Amino acid sequence: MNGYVIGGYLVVMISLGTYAVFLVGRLRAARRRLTATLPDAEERATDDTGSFR
Amino acid sequence: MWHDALLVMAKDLRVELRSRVSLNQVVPFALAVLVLFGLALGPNLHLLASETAGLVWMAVLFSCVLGVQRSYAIESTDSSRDGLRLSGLDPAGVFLGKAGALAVQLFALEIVLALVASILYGAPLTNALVLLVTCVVATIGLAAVGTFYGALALGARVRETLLPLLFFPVVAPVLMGAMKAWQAGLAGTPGKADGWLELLLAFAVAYGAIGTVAFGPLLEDG
Amino acid sequence: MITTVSPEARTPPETRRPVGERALRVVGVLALVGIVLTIWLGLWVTPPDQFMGNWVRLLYVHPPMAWVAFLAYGLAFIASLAYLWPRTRSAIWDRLAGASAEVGVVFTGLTLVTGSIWGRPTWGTWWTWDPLLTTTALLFVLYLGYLAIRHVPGSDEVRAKRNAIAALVAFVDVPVVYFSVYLWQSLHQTPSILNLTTRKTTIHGSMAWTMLLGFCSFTLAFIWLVAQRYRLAGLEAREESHGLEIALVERRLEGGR
Repeated sequence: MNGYVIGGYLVVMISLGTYAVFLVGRLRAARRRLTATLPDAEERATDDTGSFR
Repeated sequence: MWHDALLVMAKDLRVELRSRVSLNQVVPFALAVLVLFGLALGPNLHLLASETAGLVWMAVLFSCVLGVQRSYAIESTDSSRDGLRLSGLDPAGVFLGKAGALAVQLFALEIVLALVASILYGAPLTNALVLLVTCVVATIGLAAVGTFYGALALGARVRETLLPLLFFPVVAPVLMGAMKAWQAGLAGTPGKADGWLELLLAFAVAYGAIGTVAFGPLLEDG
Repeated sequence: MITTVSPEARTPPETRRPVGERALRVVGVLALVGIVLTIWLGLWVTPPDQFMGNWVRLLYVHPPMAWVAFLAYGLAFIASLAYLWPRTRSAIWDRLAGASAEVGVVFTGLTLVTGSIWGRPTWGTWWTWDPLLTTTALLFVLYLGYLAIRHVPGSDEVRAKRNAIAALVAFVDVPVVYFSVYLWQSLHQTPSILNLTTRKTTIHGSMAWTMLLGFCSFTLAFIWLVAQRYRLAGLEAREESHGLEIALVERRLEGGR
């Protein structure tokens, strides 16, 4: 088996995995911060309107 | 629109004539770049002579970025978008005027660079007509893209670093086209430049149109 | 506006999971399963190629990376169009374009890495000025620039419009760049990544299926990643506005004393 090929696969997996974990982590943190300040923030957060606010 | 364009172009050129910033700073910078290229490639005269086209046009690209920065710096002390909008002029005209003024200055710079490079790199300027035509067509494209992205980056505190980042990938085709056309001219085979000149012309027209159309919306308040 | 919500109107978060949340979970799981399967098939089950040997295994990864990057920028382009079109103008499109472009940049980087590795054995170098690869490199920088533009300050509407215009111009530039690079290198007969697959290798059987699986799995992963990134953008926008509201309320209270 070719080391470079495996390396390529690894780079892809590690990059995507890291990005996914990073996104989920920031999502959780943002949700936590929002529900902390306003109780109904979670509902408003998932209620996606087309306005900027 | 054309009337406003001429007004703005004349204004920008007049500012340059009086302040001579391009002359005092951008031209020396470009010359320094040419010299440093020579240093970077070792005193390999053969290499420098054969790659003159690419080196000159890279110097032009660097200078264009500076030119765009300057073009927007003269609008007001903080280059705010308001200054350009409140002037009451047709934004498309403002775009054409600024791009035009920038193009004129760049063209003058290119002539200087060509002469200096022919000396520094030992490359005689054969088929000067091809070289000149290339300069005209390529410069229009560069000025259009530069003026457009200059407006895009307005209001950014990091405009100095943002603009080159935006500018360079987009003008890569101009670099390739101008370099290849010049190579054809310098090598004594001007016929080969035709395709590249067409590419440069298409690019100039396309980005001239894009800039003209998009300038107004870009400067709008919302 | 901060309004007080009566206790009856407030329902516990767990029961308010919208349908989209569940669908997204499914997409995520499918993507993960598909990718793991692709890796297993790609690295072990499929046979080595007649000419390329084990290097052919990158076929299951590199083209999908490029495809997803292209998909991402295409989505950003369409979203930007949707934003600029007055009838459909909405912050949704701006956030979607940003999310898609960011994911696109990630996949573009991966396209470059896998493409570079793939060219190594045949040409002995880590980089060949192949038109596809070179265009991808320029694309990488181009969209990094787009992401940078998104941070330029301004009012929301100004920024969204600016982002949309930037995305449109960037996308339009892609074929121009590719065409130029192709012309530029065609005179020198530099190697092409495409040649590796079309001229020397016939793809059949398990290899074809694995490649298809790769395309589908990474596309699902793309959808999942963009959805998450998009939601994050939405939450961050709300956070910003809430922070603003809280600050305003505090100011008003201060002024009242």
